[in-house]
Amino acid sequence: MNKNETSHWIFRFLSWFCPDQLYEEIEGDLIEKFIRDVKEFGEKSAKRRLMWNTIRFFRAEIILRNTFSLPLLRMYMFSNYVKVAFRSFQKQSAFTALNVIGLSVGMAASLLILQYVKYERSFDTFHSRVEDIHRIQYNVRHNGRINFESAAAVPAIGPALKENFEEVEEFTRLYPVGGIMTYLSPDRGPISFHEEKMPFADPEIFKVFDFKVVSGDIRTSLKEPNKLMLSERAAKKYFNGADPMGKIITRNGNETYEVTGIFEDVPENSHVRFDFLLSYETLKNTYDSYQTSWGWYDFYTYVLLKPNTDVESLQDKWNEFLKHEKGDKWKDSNQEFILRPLSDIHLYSNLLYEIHPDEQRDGDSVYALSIIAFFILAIALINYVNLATARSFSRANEVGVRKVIGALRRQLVGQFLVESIILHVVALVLALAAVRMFWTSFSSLSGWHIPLNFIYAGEFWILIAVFFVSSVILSGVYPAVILSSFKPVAVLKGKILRGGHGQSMRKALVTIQFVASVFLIIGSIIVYQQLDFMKSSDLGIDIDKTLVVRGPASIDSVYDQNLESFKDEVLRIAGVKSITSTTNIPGDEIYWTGGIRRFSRGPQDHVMVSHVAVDYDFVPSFDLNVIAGRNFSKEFPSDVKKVLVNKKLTEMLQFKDPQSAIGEILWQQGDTIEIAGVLEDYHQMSLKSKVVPMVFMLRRAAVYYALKVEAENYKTILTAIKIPWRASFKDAPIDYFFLDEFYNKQYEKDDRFGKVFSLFTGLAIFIASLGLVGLASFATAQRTKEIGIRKVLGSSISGIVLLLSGSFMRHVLIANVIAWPLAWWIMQQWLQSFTYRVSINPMIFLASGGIVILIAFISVSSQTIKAALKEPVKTLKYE
Amino acid sequence: MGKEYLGEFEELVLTMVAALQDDAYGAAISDEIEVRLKRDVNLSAVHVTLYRLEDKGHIKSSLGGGTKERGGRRKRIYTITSAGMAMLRAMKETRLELWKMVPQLKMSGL
Repeated sequence: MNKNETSHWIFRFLSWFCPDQLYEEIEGDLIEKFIRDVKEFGEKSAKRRLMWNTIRFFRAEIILRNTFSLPLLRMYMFSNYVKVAFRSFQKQSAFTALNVIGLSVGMAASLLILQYVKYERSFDTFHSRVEDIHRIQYNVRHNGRINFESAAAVPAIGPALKENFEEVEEFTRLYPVGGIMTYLSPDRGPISFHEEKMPFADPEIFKVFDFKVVSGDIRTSLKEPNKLMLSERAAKKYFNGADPMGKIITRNGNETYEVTGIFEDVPENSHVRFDFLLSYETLKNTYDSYQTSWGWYDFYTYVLLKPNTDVESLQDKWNEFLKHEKGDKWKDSNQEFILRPLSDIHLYSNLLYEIHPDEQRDGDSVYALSIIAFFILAIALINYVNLATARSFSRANEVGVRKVIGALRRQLVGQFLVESIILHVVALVLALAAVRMFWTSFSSLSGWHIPLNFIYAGEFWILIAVFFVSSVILSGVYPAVILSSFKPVAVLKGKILRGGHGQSMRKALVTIQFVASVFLIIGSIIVYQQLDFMKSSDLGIDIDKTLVVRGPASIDSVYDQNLESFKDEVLRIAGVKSITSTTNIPGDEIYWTGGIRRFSRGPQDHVMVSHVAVDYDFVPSFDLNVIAGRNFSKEFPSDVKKVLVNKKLTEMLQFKDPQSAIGEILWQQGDTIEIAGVLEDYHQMSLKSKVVPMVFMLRRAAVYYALKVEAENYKTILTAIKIPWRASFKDAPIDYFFLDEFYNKQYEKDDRFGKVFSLFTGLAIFIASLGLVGLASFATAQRTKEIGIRKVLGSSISGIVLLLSGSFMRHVLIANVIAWPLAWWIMQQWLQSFTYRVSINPMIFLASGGIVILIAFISVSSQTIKAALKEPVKTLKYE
Repeated sequence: MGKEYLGEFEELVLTMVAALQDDAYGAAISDEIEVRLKRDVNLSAVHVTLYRLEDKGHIKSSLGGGTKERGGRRKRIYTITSAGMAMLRAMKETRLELWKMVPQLKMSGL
């Protein structure tokens, strides 16, 4: 049998899985077959056949055959385990309930969070070539330091890259604009709405991205000027079931577009969303440089690279290329165009002019939430372990008897695992039901509008399975091992009951639970304080009781006249205190930016500023503080050539103080302007960002009209406005909102983060307290006799309560000491992401500690007081 | 149990056990099937089927002698039980009954 030697390992494999009673005959048959095969096919082929034949024996019917005599016994024992499990659940129904509730709350909470994290990570991944799509980030540097980093780039970069680099397969540019879209319906009259962020887009948008076209042609629909495509949603909104193809839609009353296509609504988890796509060529009508400009940065540019392109080396190559091409022009301001992967945009991009800045997420806080999910689950599992081991003492006799009768340790572990699995199944079912039930209310609280079908995608069930198995293993095995380790003799003599079995382990676990709870409380208090600080800080601008009406957007020859008469009429309405027209209101990101410098200084000292066009009433309306010079005034006709600036700009232009800036000449895009006044800084954007340098110019603006009103009668004001509006702006839709609500929308995301954080904090503490109640009640139950004796000997009730609670409280205290530095450090990191932030008040730590200690004390004493109040006569009779 | 049912392969293996008599063991059966029916069978499939038939009581087994060509390993020799024989017979009869119901082609002209 020398041939046999070579394939020795295969027989070892066979003997490993094959039942002993079958091994010999199978091996014999295999050898026989092998020898026959050698004759027929040659040795090499025969060997291969032998392997294959042997491996084919690795099947359930063979492997499980040695157990054939056991199933009956097993089945019987299994049903016995189930029966005993339910008996013990019934006997200790309160603890079983605590256990299951804790576990299912923990599971539900962590499932919700994990789904959220998954959703946020799914952004833009629905494009089949997501890996190959990059957005071009536009950086401008001055003297080596970054002046700004913009998500939008310039029109010329896309074509330049495609022409010169074969790695670039396709590019598309999006230049979003707002405006009033009107469709003149033959039967319903004009249908018009304010629309925001409608991109002018290259037809290649459908090659780069996977947005689906329902009708129209992906190559030609957007090819010619004055064409547009709209989403199914928009088609319904404007055409109400009629066929939109070929119909005409006007923008701002003066641009006409023919509808040449319809696309599917852009998925929720896309970082760029739109209901209209306007053909890029349309820009030709208005702008000469729409293909060639290197300085107009409003164009979100996406490139599709060839598969497996080395992005880094491509980046190096094109840096070289741009330096070579543009080096002379860019002498004093370096411009960079950087490839950023599409899949990172939603979570990790934080640039100027993000296309939907409010929808951007911070990857770190998303992960912070998954840590919280982990904490909650850990607390729940620890609870389970604690309650299960504590319970073990009441099962000690059962274990003893089973062992004496002949149960193997393995069988006992199996028995307790069966109990564990039953409880987990119940908890999991409850958790799934809870997720389903609270989904809607939870998504309105959190603002996570995750479609339900996303949740129940296939992977969800895999996640559930992993969840289930790991939690059974994590929480079921330890108690099972502890329980099965009891020595029958000791147990049956009753010795085990006072022993410290697993006690130190339990207390360590309790400590960990409370570390997590204290941390979460401190965290949520600091999150709230920071939010409150940002919302209640003085913005430097009055945004209360301000009604903002969106302007008619288009400016025609009679606009000035119409605006003046509109303003006059509105001021006559009772309750309106002032009205001002402006291009930007607080909370509205300023896209009109440019370089500016002192006339007397060189180009190296230029500063990027934001521009706002205002009228004479802007400063008084918003109650802005003029700290030097004066506001625009009708008495000085030359004010049209003058500007107001904010204090920040005077600092950046290195004026020694605001006063000395008055009358100074600034140089801006080939023009000189004089500073008429300096305004105190105010927060144009939320306190999350820094105050930027600003220039206010006296120009007509058709974007917003801000009305200061008396809040009581804003409803009558709203109706009253409509008459002068019709008179001045005819059919333009009237659209209004309150400024404070608009401004505070910037905090919506953080608000929701705060709410979610505190919700889960609450849940975590709830679960931890459940565990403590359970433990305390077991601990006191074990000491019933001792308490009786103590009382007989004259101990006071409070003394007993303190004695019983003391050991638990000591661990809660230790937990505080551990959690404080941890929380301080992590929350300090979190606060770093805010420009204006609260300092951490040490009182928070004491307060959080206090809250946890109080909750813990209530949980523990609810059990200990009951025990202490019992009549000694009764307790001494016990057992 | 009443209506016991045999699968096609089970029936085949059972027939082979009956046919091979004293020489009915795994490798021989699989070989015989390959040779006579020109049908590729896997050894493990034959073994599993034999065990199943044994569980059902259609065959019984005992360990026979080892031969040199199987490295001295003993064979498990299967013999058909009377229950198995009855089963085979019953199946054959029902098959014949059914066959009779099929309209036969008249081979006239031969």
